[in-house]
Amino acid sequence: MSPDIRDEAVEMWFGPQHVSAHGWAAKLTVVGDFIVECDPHAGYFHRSAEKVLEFRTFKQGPLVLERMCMLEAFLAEYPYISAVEQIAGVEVPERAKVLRTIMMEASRIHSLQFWWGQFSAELGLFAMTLWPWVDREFFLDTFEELTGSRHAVSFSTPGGVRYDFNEKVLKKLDRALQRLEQHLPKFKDMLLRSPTFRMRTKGIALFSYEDALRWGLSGPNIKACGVPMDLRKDWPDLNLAYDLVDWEVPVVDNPDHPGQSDAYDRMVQRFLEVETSINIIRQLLPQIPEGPIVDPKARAKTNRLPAGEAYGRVEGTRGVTTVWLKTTEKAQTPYRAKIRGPCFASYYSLKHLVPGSTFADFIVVFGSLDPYPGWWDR
Amino acid sequence: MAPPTTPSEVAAELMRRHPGVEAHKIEGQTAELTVPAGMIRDVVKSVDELLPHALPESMFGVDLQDDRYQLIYYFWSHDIRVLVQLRVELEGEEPEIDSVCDIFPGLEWHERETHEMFGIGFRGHPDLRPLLLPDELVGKYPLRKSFQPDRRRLAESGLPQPRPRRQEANKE
Amino acid sequence: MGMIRVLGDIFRVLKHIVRQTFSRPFTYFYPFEDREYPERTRGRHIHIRENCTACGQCVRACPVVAIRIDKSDRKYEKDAALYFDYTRCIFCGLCVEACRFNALFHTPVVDLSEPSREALHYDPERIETLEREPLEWRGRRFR
Ligand code: SF4
Ligand code: SF4
Repeated sequence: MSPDIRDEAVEMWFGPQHVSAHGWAAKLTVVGDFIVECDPHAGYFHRSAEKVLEFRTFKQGPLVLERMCMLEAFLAEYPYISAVEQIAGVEVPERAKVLRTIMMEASRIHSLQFWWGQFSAELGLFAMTLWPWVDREFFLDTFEELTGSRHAVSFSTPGGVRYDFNEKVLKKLDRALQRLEQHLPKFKDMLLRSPTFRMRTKGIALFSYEDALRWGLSGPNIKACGVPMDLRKDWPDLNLAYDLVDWEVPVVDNPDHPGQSDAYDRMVQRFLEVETSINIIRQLLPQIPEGPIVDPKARAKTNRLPAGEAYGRVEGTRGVTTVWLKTTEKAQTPYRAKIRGPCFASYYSLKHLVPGSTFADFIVVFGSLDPYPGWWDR
Repeated sequence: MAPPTTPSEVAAELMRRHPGVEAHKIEGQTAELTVPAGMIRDVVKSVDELLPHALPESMFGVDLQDDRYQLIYYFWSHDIRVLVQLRVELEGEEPEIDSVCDIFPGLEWHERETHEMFGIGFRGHPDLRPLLLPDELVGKYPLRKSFQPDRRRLAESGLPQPRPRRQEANKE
Repeated sequence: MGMIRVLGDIFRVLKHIVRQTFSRPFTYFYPFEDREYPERTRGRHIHIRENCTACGQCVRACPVVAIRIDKSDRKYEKDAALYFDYTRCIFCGLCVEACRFNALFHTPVVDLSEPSREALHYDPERIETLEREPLEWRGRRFR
C-alpha cells in the first residue's frame, strides 16, 4: 500500500452485530469501494473448550466437542473418541462402525444443506435459503428419533454408540434421503443456473491449490481445486466403515482455471459432496450387520486410560478436524487436549483472500469458505 | 536421489540433513521427530522441501510443569500420505523460539494462540496480539497447569471433594 | 375470449383462497397443541425413589454438576433425594445411562419455561412426579 492511498483509507468494522457476522468481526481498511486490508478478529465465541476438556472424563469429553459445531455434531465428536480409542487400543463392534459412518455422513449432508441456505441468504437468494432448510428438518427429525435430541446428539461414545437404529429411524432416514434426492436437481438448477448467483460468485475469491494449502485450508475448499484430498480415503480408520463402500472422492476441475477454485466451484463441490454422502449412506444401509452396538469391556477400559498420546483425525464437512490427546497413567481426564478446527484456517485465510475485492464481495468471499465460528473460537 | 515417499524415508532424510534431530516413533503413516529448539526454522524449511504440498495442520503447546514446555507441529502431505510430527522441548519461565510463520503462513494464528495461552514467545512473529482471550485473562496464560480455574460449582454437588491430585506428565 | 381467461384466473385464485382457508396450518397452536415427541426424547427427568439405592453414580456422571444428592433424606429403605438444576442441565443423558437400578429416566416433557430462575431448581418432590401425562395432554388438534 503506497502512502498516498493510506490517506484516503477508511477503517470500518464488519460485525459483530452485522446479520451475516454471527459471532465474528473483521476490521476492514477500505479505499473507495475496495478493501485493501482485512484483519479478522476471533474470540467472540470462545468457550475455552481445551481447558474444559482437562476437567471432563473421557465419556463426557465428546459432549464438549459436539458443541464446537452443532451442525456437524456427529462428525465433530468423532476425533476425540477416535483418540481415546487409540490410546485404549479398543475396537468397536461391527454394527457400531457402520452406524457411526452412516450418521456421520447424514450429519455432513445436514451441515451442507444449512450452508447452501446460509450462503444463498448472504447473496440475497432467499428461496434457496428456505427450501433446503425444509429438507434439513427431515434429517433433524431422524436425529431426534435416533438420539432424542435434534442438535446436541452425543451419539458416539468410546467403545461404540449409545443409541441403536430401529424401524422408525430407518424409515425417517430413508424419507429424508428420498426427499433430498428428489429435490437435489431442482436446487442445482435454482442456484447454479441463476444469473444472479453466477455473476456474484464467478471469479470471486480465486485461489490456487498451493496457496490454500499454505494457509491451512482443507476439505471442500481444496477439493474444488481438483485435488482429491480427503481423509476418508487417505487416513484409513479402524473404527469406521468406509472400506465397505465403493466410492470416489468428488472433485471439481474447472477448465477455466485448472488448479484453482472460485466461489462458484466451491458451491458445485458442495453439491457433489452431498451426492457422495447420499451414495455412501445408500450403500451402507443394507449392509448394517446384526450384533451389539457397544462393547461393554471396551467402554469400561476407557474409564481410566494408560499414559499415551494419540491424534484423532476425521474429514469433517469443512475440512480436516483433529484432536490431539495426551493422557497420564490411570488418569480419568486428559492431560492436554488440542482441538484443530478446520475453520481456524478458513477464517485466517481471509487476511490473504479479501484484500483486492470490493466491499460488496466480502461476504461472498467469507461465505464461500463455509466457516463456522465455533471451530475457530473453540 | 528420488524424493522420499514413506514416513521412515522422510525421517531418515531429515535426520541426515540435520544432525541433532531424533526419531521418536515411526508408525503407520506417521513420523514423529524430536527437534532441538534452535533448529526449528531449518527443519521446517526442509519439511517444506521434502513433503510435496505440505499442509500445516496444527501447532500447539503442552505444559509439562516445572517450567518445561513442548511445542508440537503437524504437517500432512496428501501426495505421499505422510504425517510428520515435530516436537520441540522448551525450558524457562517464558521461553522463546523462532517463528516459522513466514514459511507456512497458516501457522501464524496457531503461534499467536500458543503465545497467549502458554506465554511462549515467538521471535520474528509479525503480530502477537491476543487472539481469543478476553482482556482480563491476557497475561495469565490459562492453558498452563498452574492456572487455577473456578471450581466453586463442584462443591455444590454434595459428593465428597476429590483431593486435587497432581498429574505427572512425564511418567511414560 | 379475454373475458373467459380472466374468469378462469379469478376462479383459480378463489380456489387457492378456499383451499388455504380450510386446510390445516403447518404450524402448531403451541400452548394448546404440540408436536409428537419421539420415545427417546431427552426431556426433563423423573426419579423413581423406590428403585434408587443412593449410589450417586448419576451425580458423578453429570458433566455440568446439575444434580445434587442428599443421602440423609430417606423416604424408602435406602433411597436418596435428588435436586436437579435445570439452569445447568444440558440434557445429555449420561445420568440416565449411569443409573443401573432403573431409578432415573428422561421424559418427553421439554417445555420447562418458568417465570424465574429459582423455579428451575427442581426439588425431590417435583422430580418424582410429572405434572401431566407427557404424551397425551396435548393431543388436541385445532381445525
Ligand atoms: S442429562 Fe446430563 S446434564 Fe442433565 S442432569 Fe443428567 S447428566 Fe447432568
Ligand atoms: S438415581 Fe440411580 S444412579 Fe442416581 S443415586 Fe439413585 S440409583 Fe444411583
